Amino acid sequence: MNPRLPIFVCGDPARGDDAAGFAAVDLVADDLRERAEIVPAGQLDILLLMDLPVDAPCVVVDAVAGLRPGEIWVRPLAALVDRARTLEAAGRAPDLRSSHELPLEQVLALAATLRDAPPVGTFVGIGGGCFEAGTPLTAAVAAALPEFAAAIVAAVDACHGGTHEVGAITAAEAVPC
Amino acid sequence: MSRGTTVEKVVDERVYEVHELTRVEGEGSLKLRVRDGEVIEARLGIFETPRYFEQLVVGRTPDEVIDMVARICGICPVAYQMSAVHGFEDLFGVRIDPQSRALRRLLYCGEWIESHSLHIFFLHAPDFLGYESGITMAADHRPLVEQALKLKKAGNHLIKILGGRPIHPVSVRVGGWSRAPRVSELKEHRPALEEALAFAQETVRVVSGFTMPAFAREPRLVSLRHAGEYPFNDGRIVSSDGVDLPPTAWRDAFEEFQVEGTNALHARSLDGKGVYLLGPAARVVLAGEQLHPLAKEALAASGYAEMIRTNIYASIVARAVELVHACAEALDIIDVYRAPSEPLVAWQSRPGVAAWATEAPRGLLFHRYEVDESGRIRHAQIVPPTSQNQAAIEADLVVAAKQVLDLPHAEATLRLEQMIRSYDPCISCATHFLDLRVEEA
Repeated sequence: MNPRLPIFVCGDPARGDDAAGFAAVDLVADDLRERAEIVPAGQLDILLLMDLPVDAPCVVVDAVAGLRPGEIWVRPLAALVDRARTLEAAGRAPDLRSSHELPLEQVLALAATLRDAPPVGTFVGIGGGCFEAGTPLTAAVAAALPEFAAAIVAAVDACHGGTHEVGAITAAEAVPC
Repeated sequence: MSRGTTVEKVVDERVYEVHELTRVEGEGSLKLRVRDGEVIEARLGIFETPRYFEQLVVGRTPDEVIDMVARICGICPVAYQMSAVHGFEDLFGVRIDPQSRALRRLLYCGEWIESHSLHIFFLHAPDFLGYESGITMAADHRPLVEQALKLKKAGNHLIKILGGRPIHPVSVRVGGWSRAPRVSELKEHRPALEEALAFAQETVRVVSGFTMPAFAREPRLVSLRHAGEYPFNDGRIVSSDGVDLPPTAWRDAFEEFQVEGTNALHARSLDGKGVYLLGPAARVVLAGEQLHPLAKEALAASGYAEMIRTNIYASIVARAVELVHACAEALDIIDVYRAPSEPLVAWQSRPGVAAWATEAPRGLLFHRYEVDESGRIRHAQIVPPTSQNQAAIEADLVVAAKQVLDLPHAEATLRLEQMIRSYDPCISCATHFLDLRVEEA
């Protein structure tokens, strides 16, 4: 068991609900200090994943478009890889927000390709309503932060306990951003 | 022709268009229109939104500018810091510690390593190997991609040691460094750089084995050249046809100008000779004598020393040779490094013009700042390599058109994209200008 499980916090603190991950881990930073390492990632970098041993779990936290604002969305990282590959096989790349970054699912899929296995761990997301620069969290997301933070803690504990979220997702379900 | 007979000339017009170029940094498009074998339009469109950095730095102090301009690019932030800091130090008469100077070369080595490895393996190699992306390439060339990621990481980590973080470093200051690394910090990174050097040498061998599309244009080349070192931060601005200027004097030979349909300014020489090429190929040709011996050896063994001059596709080899140089020089610097006795020397602002050119991964990057009596920026001009290379890209599209006319349309379009990617264009860097004129009645 990794005593300090990495939590990769994605998003942009200056872009509305994209700051939700950062706000949520702030709420539980003291609680997690002994058993998790909070890594502000912004965009998930393949090198962060490649630095982990193949079977070492991690938690990835981000806001998600396509859900009701404030809705909590927890999925295994492997399911995100599956979706990226399904889309690719269908000739559709995962939704691209910007040419400056690789979508989170493609980063996970690349790590899976290079490792012969998908990254181990859990994605914890929250539906966002507004991602405009300079805007605050929307009321719905701000209100759901305690629940979001609790889901992050639960994911960390599940990883430490050797159990991860299971299940699949559909192509159109939601898009981490 | 008999009376009453109309002969309609059949026009063969072909349009090659890519609305959103991929595997380039930023957002641009390609349009090439060929009529009866003659190119009538060759356009690299840059539609990414202007980013206004030249206006954002107005009213700021030099040290603030150094941190702000780093944000122009996530791939080459060091270049922006280096051109700015050297300009300010030149204006203020600041002499930095020789070890600080070496550390700045080391920082640039880190940037070249991460930037060149990103471009070679993830943006350009898929063209040569027949993949749509580095991701799909990874499935068949896993060891290559893994090594490439390690190489990139070695560069990013070097930047982190020196600059506090792997992207957008924060320790460069007028007068030196806010913090100089300990010898042990750099030594700890030595094994990773040794591995990086070995893989960089292998990279030259790999890319030299790629099939280069036929192409020939002898461009006018421009880069820095220094009598005693491969150009990063110092040297003179030289060209393949006799330009020879101090790094402060880019505007004596070149100018920027607006072209309709692009959000990046173009650049041209004042002597009317037109377009010029910046970047690894230009540097290797103009300053190759100062390459590290291991890089020289790799270039000679590649067999591409001459072709680099005329075939833009072969710039991938020049970039790989510079990877070897950056890794080898980084190791050399670390081996003799001792912490500077005075990491940050005192300085006094003075009004005037701060100007300097350094060598970004993609070529010559010129900055010019007018500093007022209070030590704040009154006016800024930043001339990135990609905006200077735009005209050369369009000139090369005209040449490339003749090579692709016999290819199926999709293949021809892909080949043209590949040609543009040979420049490693950084479109986001190129779109930061602001030329706002408010005319009141």
